[in-house]
Amino acid sequence: MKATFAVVGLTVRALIRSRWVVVTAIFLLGFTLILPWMLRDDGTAVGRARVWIQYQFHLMLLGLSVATLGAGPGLVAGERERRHLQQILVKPVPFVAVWLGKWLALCLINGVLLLGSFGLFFFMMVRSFGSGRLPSDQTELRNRVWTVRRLTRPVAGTRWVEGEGMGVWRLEMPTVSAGKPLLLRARFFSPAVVSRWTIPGEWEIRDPEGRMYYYERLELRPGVVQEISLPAPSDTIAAGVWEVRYRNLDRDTILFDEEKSVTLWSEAGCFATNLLRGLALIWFRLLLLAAAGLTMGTLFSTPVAIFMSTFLLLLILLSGQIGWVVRTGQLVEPPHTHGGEPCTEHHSTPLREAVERGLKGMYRFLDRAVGAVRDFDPVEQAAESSRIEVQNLLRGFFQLVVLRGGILGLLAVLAATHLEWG
Amino acid sequence: MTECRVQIEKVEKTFRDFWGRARVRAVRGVSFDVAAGEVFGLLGPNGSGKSTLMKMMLGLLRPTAGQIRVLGQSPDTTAIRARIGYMPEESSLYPFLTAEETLDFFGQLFGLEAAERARRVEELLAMTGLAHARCRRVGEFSKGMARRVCLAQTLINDPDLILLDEPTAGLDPVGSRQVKEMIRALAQRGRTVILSSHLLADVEDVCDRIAILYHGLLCALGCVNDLLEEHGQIRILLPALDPAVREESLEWLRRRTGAVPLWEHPRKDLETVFLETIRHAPPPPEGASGAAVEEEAPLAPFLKGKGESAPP
Ligand SMILES: Nc1ncnc2c1ncn2[C@@H]1O[C@H](COP(=O)(O)OP(=O)(O)OP(=O)(O)O)[C@@H](O)[C@H]1O
Ligand SMILES: [Mg+2]
Repeated sequence: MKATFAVVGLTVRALIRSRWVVVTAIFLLGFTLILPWMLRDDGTAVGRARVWIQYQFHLMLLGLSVATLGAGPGLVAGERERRHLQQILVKPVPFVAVWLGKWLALCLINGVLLLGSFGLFFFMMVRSFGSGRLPSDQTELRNRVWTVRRLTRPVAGTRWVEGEGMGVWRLEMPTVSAGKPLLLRARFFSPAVVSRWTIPGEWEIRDPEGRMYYYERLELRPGVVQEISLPAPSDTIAAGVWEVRYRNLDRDTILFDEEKSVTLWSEAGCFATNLLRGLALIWFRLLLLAAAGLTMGTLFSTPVAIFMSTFLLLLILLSGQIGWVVRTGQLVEPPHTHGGEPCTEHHSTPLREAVERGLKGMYRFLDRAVGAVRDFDPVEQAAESSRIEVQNLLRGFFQLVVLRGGILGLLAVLAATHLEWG
Repeated sequence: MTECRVQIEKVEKTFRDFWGRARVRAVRGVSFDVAAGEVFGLLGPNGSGKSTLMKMMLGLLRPTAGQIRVLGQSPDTTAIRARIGYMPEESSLYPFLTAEETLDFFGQLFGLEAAERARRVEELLAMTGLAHARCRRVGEFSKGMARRVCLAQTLINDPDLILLDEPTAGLDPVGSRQVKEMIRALAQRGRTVILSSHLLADVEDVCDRIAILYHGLLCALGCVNDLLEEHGQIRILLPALDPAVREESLEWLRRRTGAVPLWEHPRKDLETVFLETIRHAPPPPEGASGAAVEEEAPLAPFLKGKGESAPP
C-alpha cells in the first residue's frame, strides 16, 4: 500500500512537472471563461442557461478525455522505454501497485481539474443569471432550470391522434407536494407543418382521484419539444396514476414522438447537487479512460498505445451509431428507392453473409464494451435539469469503474506478469 | 564463505523477435555460485551477456533454460527484492525528481518509515558527496552525479545482495575509488556484491572472484589472485640505489642465479597522481555545482550494521 501511495506521489509530480496539469488547466479554465461568448442559444434565458450547461459539460468531458488518454500511455509505455519502470520493479513492488498508483494519480488530478473548472463555471453562471433579468425570466429560470425534476413517462398511451380525435396517456406519478409546480413536455408531428405554424388542441390533466387538475386550449408548434408550466397544487397529492388527454382540434392526424411523447416532470431536488452528480458521472468516465490509457501503455509501445487510446475515444464518440447498428440489425441504411425501384441490388452470397455476420458480431461486442459509456452520459440530463438518480450514479460507478476499469486493470496485470522488462 | 547467495545453473537466454524467431543467444549454459560476503566480478567484451545475466537474477528477464536461485528463492519472488540493491548500467532516474526526492521515493518503495527514510537519505547524500545538490533535479545532473544518485538508491534498503552494472563508469577517479572502498567495506560486513565492469583495474582491486564471459559463454572462472599470479617470477622493490651499488648487486644476482635480472623505476599510477592533485587544490569557490570530493569515503552509518562505528 505504501508503495502504491509512493507511485501516486511520483505520478502527480510527473504530471505537474511535465506541465501536463498546467496546460490542461489553462485549456479548461480558458474555455470555461470564454464559453459564454461562444453560446448559440434561442434568445431566451432558459435556452441560454441550458445551452451553457450543455457546452460546459461537453467541454469538460471532451477536454479531459483527450488529456487523460494523452497522458496515460506515456506513464507506462514511456517509462518502460526509458527504463524508469524497471527501477521500480526491481524493488519489492508488484506491477499491480504501480498500475494502481498511476491510475489513482490520474483520478485525483482529473477530479481536481474537473472541480476547478466546474467551480469557475458555476460562479460565472450564478453571476450571469443572478440579477438584472426580467421577473418573468427569473420565474421561468426558477421553474425550468434551477428546479431539478424527475421525469415520469406514460405507462400506456396513444401515438396517433386522428383529426378531431382524442389521445390519452396514463402516468404513474410519485407524490406531488403542495406549492410545487409541475411541468408537461410533449412533442408531436403533423403533415400540416409546412402550411401552418401551430396546431390547436385541448389539454386536460386529471389527478389520481379523477379531479380536473389542468385544462387549457393551446396552439402548439409541431416538431419541437413543448414545455407547459402547470400550476402548483394547493394540497399534496399522493402518488398514483394521472391521466393526460389531448383533443386534436385540427383536421389532420398528428403523431406523438416515441421517446418524448407526453411526460410529466415533478420537482425533485437541488440544481447544484444535480450538476455535481453529473460531474461525478463525467469523472467515472474519465477514470475508465485513465484505466484504458494505462493498460494500452502496458500492452503496447508508446505510439501504438496512443493510437489505440485515440481509437477508443473515437469509438466512444461513435457509440450512438454502433448502438443503432445493433438495435436495427442493419449495417448500412437501406438503399434509397427511385420511383419504387431500389438503385442498388443486394446480392446475397455465402461469403457476404459470413462477412456480415462477423461484422455484426463485432458491432455487438463494441456496443457491449462502449455502449455503457453512452448510457451514463450525464450532459443531456444536467442541461435539462432532469434528476440524475443516486442509483444511476452507483450503477455508473459499477459499470464504468469497477467492471470495465477492473477488467482493464486485470488485463494489464496479467500481461505484465508475462512480459519481460529487459 | 559457505552460504550461497546466488546460484546459477546452466542458464541460457535467447532473445526472440515479435514472431518468436530466435535472434540472439545472449547467455549460453552459464553456471556459477556466489557466496555470502563475496565480491564477484563479471567481465567480458561488449554484448557478452553480463547485463542480461544480472537482469535474470532480478527477474526482469526470464531464462530460456536453466535455473537461477537468488537468496535461496526464485528471482520472480517479489519479497526477496527487499534484500537486493541494483544499480543498472544506465542510471535511468526520473529526471523531474530532485536527488533527495529520488532517494525518498525509492525508500518509500521499501516501506521505510518517514524518519528512517529521512536519516538514510541524509547519510547517503553525504556519502555520495551530493548533499549540496540535494534540491536540484536529477535531469540536470552530469552523468557522474546521476551515477552517484543511482548508487545511493541502490543502497537505501541496506541490501544483502548488491548487483552493480558498471558502477564506476562515468565516475571521476575519486568517486570510483570511493565506490571501490565502499564495496570492500560492504563485503567485509557480510554483504554480497556482484559487479560488472570494463575497468579491469577496478575489478582487480575489489573482486575476490571473477567470471569472464565471451559471446554468452563462461570462458574463465576463479579467484582473482590465482588468475593474476605469475608463478615463476618475483619482483624485489628497493629504495633508489647508487648506480655502482646497483650494478654490483645485479652482477651478483646474475652470477648466483644464471638469469638476467631487469630493473626499472616504478611508475606511480595516474589515479594516485590525480588524487594528489585534488588533495592540494584550492577550496571550491562559492556556489560550486559539481560533486564534492571527500578524501575519505564515509560509509553511510546505517550501512555499517549494528554496534559498529567506522569502516576498517
Ligand atoms: N532486450 C533485448 N532484446 C534483444 N537482444 C538483446 C536484448 N538485451 C540484450 N540483447 C542482446 O544480448 C546480448 C548481450 O547483451 P548484454 O547487454 O547482456 O551485454 P553486456 O555484456 O552487458 O554488454 P556491455 O558491456 O556493452 O554492457 C547482446 O548481443 C545484445 O544485443
Ligand atoms: Mg551491459
